[in-house]
Amino acid sequence: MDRRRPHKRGHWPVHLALALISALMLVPFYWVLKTSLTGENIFAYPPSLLPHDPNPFYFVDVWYAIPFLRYLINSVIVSIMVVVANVFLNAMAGYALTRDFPGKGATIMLFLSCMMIPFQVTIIPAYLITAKLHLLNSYFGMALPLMSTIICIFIFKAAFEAIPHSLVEAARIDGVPDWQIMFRLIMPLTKPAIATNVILSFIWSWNSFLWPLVVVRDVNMQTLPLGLSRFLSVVEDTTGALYAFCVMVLVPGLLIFLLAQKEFIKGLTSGATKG
Amino acid sequence: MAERAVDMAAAPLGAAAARPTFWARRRSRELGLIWLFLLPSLVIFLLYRIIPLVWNVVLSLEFWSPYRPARFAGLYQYQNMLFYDDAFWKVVGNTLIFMASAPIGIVLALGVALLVNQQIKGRGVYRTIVFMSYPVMTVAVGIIWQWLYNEKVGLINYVLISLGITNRGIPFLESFQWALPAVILASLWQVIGFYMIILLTGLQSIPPNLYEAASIDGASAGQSFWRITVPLLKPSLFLCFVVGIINSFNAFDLIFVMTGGGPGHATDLLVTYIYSTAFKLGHFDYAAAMTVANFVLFVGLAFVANRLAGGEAGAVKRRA
Amino acid sequence: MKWSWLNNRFTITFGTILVLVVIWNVYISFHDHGLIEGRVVGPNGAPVAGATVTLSEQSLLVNQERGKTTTDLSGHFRFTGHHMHRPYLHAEKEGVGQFGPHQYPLYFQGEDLILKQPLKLTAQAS
Repeated sequence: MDRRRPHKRGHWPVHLALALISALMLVPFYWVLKTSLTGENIFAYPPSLLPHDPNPFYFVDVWYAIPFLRYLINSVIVSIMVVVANVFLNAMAGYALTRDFPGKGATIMLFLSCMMIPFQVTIIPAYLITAKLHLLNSYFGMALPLMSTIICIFIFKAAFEAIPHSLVEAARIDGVPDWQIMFRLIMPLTKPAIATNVILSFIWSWNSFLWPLVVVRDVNMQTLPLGLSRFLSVVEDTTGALYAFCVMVLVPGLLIFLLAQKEFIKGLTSGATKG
Repeated sequence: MAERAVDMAAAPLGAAAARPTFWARRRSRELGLIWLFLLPSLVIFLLYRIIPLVWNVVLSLEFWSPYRPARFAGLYQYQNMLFYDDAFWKVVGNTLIFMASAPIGIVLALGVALLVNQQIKGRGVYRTIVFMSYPVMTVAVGIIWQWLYNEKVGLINYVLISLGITNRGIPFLESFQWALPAVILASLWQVIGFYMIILLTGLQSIPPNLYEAASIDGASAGQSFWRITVPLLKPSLFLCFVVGIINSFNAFDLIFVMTGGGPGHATDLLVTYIYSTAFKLGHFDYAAAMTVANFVLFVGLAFVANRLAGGEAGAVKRRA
Repeated sequence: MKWSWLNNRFTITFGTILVLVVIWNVYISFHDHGLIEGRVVGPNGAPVAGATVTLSEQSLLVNQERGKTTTDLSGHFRFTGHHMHRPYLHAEKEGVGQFGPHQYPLYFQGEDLILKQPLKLTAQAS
């Protein structure tokens, strides 16, 4: 188990390669950040590599050009609804899939095939269904289609299967009812899977653009990505402010990932090895 | 495992025929619980995936127009699609090329994962940096890369010209050959971090004593890679493939922002072509037929990938 | 331990963010009277009295004057109660020159602004 071999000398090629790769991955970020701070015209040539005359006022522009706070709150509410619902629904479904029951194979095939349906082709029927349910223009309507994702169901399933069964059996013999086994014994042990689910569903719901666009007419209910399109019609100098907007939308997703990355990665472990 | 315990609980069903009611009740109570647990997710998928798919299938068998009631059309739309629409085949080809680029991304990510897996300081930082591209909104990714590829002022052309590789800027997003690779590169940039993390966790779960045993037996690094690492990574590779399919749906946003389908369908994927047929031309029935084709295509691809990956991912575990 | 949850990195991050937001809003509430104070000087650096200073809002959609005042004997002028985050100031005095319109980006709407540099009129050759 001990992989600590003396590696003092041969490391720098690895560092070099990784540094190069990191630089490549970061170039677009750097560019967005730089342009959001300097607001230089994107059509200026040659493009300057370093920011000159940086100023943070484009962020102020973005804040006032659209009802940013309102959109932010909307996005937060919808995302929280999605994340919470996701964790519960996926955990329940994942747990159910670890038991053996008639129709299990068919259910699994069903789930897998649902993954193959791209969202864009479902928007009209989804819109009609949401309208029938009287959920148009509502937070719940925006959150509903995103409230369960198949990939996370399987991650939970794998995480549950990784729990040593003797624990569950001992609890069952002691007469602990199923509900309690589920929530007080198993869930704490699957914290990594929960973290993975939280991060992924947060990212997907925070960035979701097409569905709120279809479902929401009322300007006050729009989420941040929609604010982007409204914003583009209001602002004059599209570059600095536009990029500032991109930065502002990006930050929460990044923040959540940074906070929960350890568990996120552990959560993928049980998912990756069991498939 | 879980199935065994349930089997054991269910076994007394046969053995203790003297007390069938207790176990039968318990079993059916458990079944009820299982379906209860599955119900909310199933309802959501039913409402938002299955019913739309069925709707599409039904629509694909009709002539639909906003002015008249729909008439049954049989396989007319499919005939139209398969035999009379060149754009459809071009678009299918583009989609296949796009999906074929996923393995390239996975291989690259594997390389990065192998690098990050080394015992070096700051590997957590590298890992974070590579993943950072994923939480970015796809529309923003499109905007950024569209500017990077710009023929006159884009950074990429600037670098190419400075390095002397070319004399004038290449209009990446407007040329027939470069547009699709350009879009694929942008999409790969976004997803490679996710691939890398999946592969990294897969790598880290391979017990190191396998490598030690191999090196004791005299295996070279290459051999231990191909014989140990790759087979044990198969579930991770399949998960990456699934993520790749999900990400190809995100490519819709990318393409819309960057090229809008590209110079004459050059960057049109099946999803974007379906969207423009439906919403720009109003041919919802034809778009529905293509949706069904898209679904069949992806299911086929997933099936193939599942076979290649060892066939156990997600399938019902067959207990001999 | 009951207080160990305070050490959780989530609590620290979001708690810090919350605290910063509160502090920032308190700061804003003390400084958002929409005040702009400044001086107008001539090309030689001497204060100019009686120059007309115009406060306006300019953007792609709007070009609107929001206030007009004249400088007093020592060249000072003052606006209050504006609600812009990018005010433009324009000063002119007949026979001396003009300045602007120049923008003064603010951190929040109606931030109090006390100009350090005077508005320097330059003679226009027109």
